[in-house]
Amino acid sequence: MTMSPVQASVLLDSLASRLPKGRLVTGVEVERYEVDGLRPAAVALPESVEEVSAVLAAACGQRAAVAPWGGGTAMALGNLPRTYDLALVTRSLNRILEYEPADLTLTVQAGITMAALASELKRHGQFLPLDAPEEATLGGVLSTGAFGPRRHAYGPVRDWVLGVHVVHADGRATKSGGRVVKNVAGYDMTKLYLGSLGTLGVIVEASLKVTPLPAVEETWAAACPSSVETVRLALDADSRGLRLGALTVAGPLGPDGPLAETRLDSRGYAVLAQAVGSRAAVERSLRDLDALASDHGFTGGGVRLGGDSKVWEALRALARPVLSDNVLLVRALLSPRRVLPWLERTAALAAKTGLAPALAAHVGTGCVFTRWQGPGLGGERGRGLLAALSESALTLGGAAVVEGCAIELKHHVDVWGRPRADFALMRRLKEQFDPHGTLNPGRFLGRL
Amino acid sequence: MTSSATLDKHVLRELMAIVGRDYVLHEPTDLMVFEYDATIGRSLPQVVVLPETAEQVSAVVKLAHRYGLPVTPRGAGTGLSGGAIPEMGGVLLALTRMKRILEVDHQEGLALVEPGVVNLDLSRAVKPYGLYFAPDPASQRACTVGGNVAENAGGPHCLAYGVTTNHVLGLELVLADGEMVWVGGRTRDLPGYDLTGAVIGSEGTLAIVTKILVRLLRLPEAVRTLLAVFDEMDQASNAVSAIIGQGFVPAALEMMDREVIQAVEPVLHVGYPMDADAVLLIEVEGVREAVAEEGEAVEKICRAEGARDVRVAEEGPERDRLWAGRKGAIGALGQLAPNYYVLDGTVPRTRLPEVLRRVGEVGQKHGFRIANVFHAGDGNLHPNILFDARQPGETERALEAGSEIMRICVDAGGTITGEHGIGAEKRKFMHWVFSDDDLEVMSRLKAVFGAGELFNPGKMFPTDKESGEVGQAQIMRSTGPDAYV
Repeated sequence: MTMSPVQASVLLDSLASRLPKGRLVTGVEVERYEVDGLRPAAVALPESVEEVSAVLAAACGQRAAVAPWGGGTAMALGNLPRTYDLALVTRSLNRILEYEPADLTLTVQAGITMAALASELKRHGQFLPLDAPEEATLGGVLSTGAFGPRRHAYGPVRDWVLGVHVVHADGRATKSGGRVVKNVAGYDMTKLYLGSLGTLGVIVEASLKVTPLPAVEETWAAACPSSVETVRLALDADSRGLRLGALTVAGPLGPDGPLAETRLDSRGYAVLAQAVGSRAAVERSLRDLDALASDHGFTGGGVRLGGDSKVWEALRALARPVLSDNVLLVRALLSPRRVLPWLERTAALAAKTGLAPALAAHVGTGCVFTRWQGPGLGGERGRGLLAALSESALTLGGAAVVEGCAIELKHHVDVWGRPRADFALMRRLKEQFDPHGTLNPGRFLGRL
Repeated sequence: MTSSATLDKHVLRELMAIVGRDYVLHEPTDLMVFEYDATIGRSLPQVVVLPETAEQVSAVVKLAHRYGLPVTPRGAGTGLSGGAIPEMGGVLLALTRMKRILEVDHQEGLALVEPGVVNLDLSRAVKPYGLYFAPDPASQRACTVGGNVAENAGGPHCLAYGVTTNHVLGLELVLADGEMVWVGGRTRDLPGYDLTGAVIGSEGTLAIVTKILVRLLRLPEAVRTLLAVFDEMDQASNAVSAIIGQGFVPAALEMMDREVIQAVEPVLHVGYPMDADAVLLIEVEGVREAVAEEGEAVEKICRAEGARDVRVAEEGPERDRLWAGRKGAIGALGQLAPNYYVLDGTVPRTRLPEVLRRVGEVGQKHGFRIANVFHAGDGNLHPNILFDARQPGETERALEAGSEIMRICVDAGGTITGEHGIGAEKRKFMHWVFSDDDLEVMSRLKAVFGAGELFNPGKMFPTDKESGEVGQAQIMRSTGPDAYV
């Protein structure tokens, strides 16, 4: 369904007439911008909001399909594109527009990388507590959502975004929200763009809340052979009102597991907690965690892994979206108390398949990443496994989202899982905002 | 526009068949009880319907749809922007009978409630589990959770914990065609568009919310409340910036100026010094060790910024007393003038000193006293213009002063409402913060919900720019002793 050569050349002419020289890439370089094996006709590299508008207006006019592209770290997410003609790369929109540290707010262009953003904030003792790779762009993180260890204490992406500027499919630029921390003027349109995989509009600018870096961070771990016991301990720790920046159960430990690079040399699974705050508050949390571990019969007690633990980076890496014939990465979304039964079912499936999935269970938010690795996961074997996992999630009242798999698998499943009763509203939303299917057509929930 | 046209008898009969005879009010004396909210902009509904279940709401909406009658949802009527006033007449859907707390899941920290549950009743009901509902508008003894959702309500403790939208996980909705649908749910971060986030703060214009799934927070182990007394308003403003700038985000950070202190103290006797220019009410909470440290640090900052006195209260009657002054502030303003106009705008907090000065200048220019009581940590201002509506021309001048203050907020990089909503009051200011294109995109959301002008017609969007004045003038006559911010 991708454009014919003639159509593509009309699109390129239209783009070339609207963009300054050098903003349009064709030829072999477009290889790097494949989505699920599909190659675009061209790559646009706009350097201003006006240029983004021009690109989208041209693409929409030619009924071309556009994939917004930030750092490219999460392009494995989503269903197969229905069509794909143009990558719209936002990386050149990378300026900090306004930053007043004492306001704890910041306005930036969306193409800034998380690393650049973090380094500017750090100079003022602040940070944006979202989990994302350093080379990801802010716009990409806002569009895909971030689901990592920090979600436990700091909440979802939506809690940190005050407003966005968006360029719509027809090239029109609008804004929602504002730059101040409290604002109820008009509909809260911002929420719709967050986590929408760029299917409603391309985020080009965002105003964010930021927060002071904790004075002290200390990672704590306790290990035990049973994943179930570790979850019990974690759930208990979660109910104590301690100041924990993150609280995750992960494993299996050992040289082949996700935490091989860390100083955890036990076997089994680990409860990982990050105590944050002042030194006194952190010490208090660590004492309480030690006591809890001992109450739960964790014979090894708790160990301290220091302030700059590699553990959290390893967990983010485990959850990174990927295209691979040998991987099935599933994010289960559950209510926290369903994490235990989910893990029991996962263990049963592991035994049945002979695979040992890597696991990161963010128990406080009910978000569990399970990364299965083995030959043939792109084929029938993977489909069977995914069907069983999806069924488990549904019966537990949750959902399972595929965030890493083979392209082949995407031909057979909706990676977002089954749409719910509110899908009719979502479909109408997509129709209202992108009537010609210009933005990432087919890639979102229900192949919107 | 007030529509006093009576409904056909058969419409009334059909409504009675849905909710029962006792819960359809149509006598003029009954209707008058529902013609205003906390702003006393007035407009009579044609009929008031008090459903008890979501199914009844659905049936009422279907009927209204069929007869082309607008439906305006209403909670406790404590809103401060005219949101619950049925400007176009029609059906006023009073949701106060739907006040059941359907479920408390204390393990997961969730509650499923009906929209008519009173905010504070929810926190009281879950207190035995060590939990509470974080949004705490000053009207929390009266306002409903449904109203909080409609307005995306805030409150003093939103500085650390966020506003209503940060505490709602899912909603049961009745759409314009009467269909019932859930958006969101107890599972976080479900894939798909965040419809829950879009409905919260939509001021009852998209759908009728019939169930609300809220997230509850754990009560903190320790709390410390500080009252810092300043001889100059600027010192207090600077202390606010210094506290935040040095890396502390207290649970609450509230400011009251001289006018408010002088209104509050003689009535409530809470111990605010009558000769102070401003007081800050600051609350830190969390684990004991952190509270002690942070409390001391904040106290030190206040003194360094020039506080002449800092009083500290732990939990108990002394803390309640300090808060009583804050929560009763707006009511006490009745001591100073027969009328007052409560404004609501947000500015970046570092702009507070300058903005407050300019607000004072607006008061001087028009000859009004302006009393400020507000969420300083959030930069969310509530200037109250004190005036006497009996004096010819004063209402108009107060209105003008209000517009000028809103303009100051916008020019400082802020916005026209932080927590009270647009409603009828601020439609004409929408163009100051949104372009025609911005508003057009919002109208597409309205189209998605297919609500047209069925639900709360006329609210939020600018109509023609002249008639906005009428909405605001209605608000002006407003604000009785029951008003809160």
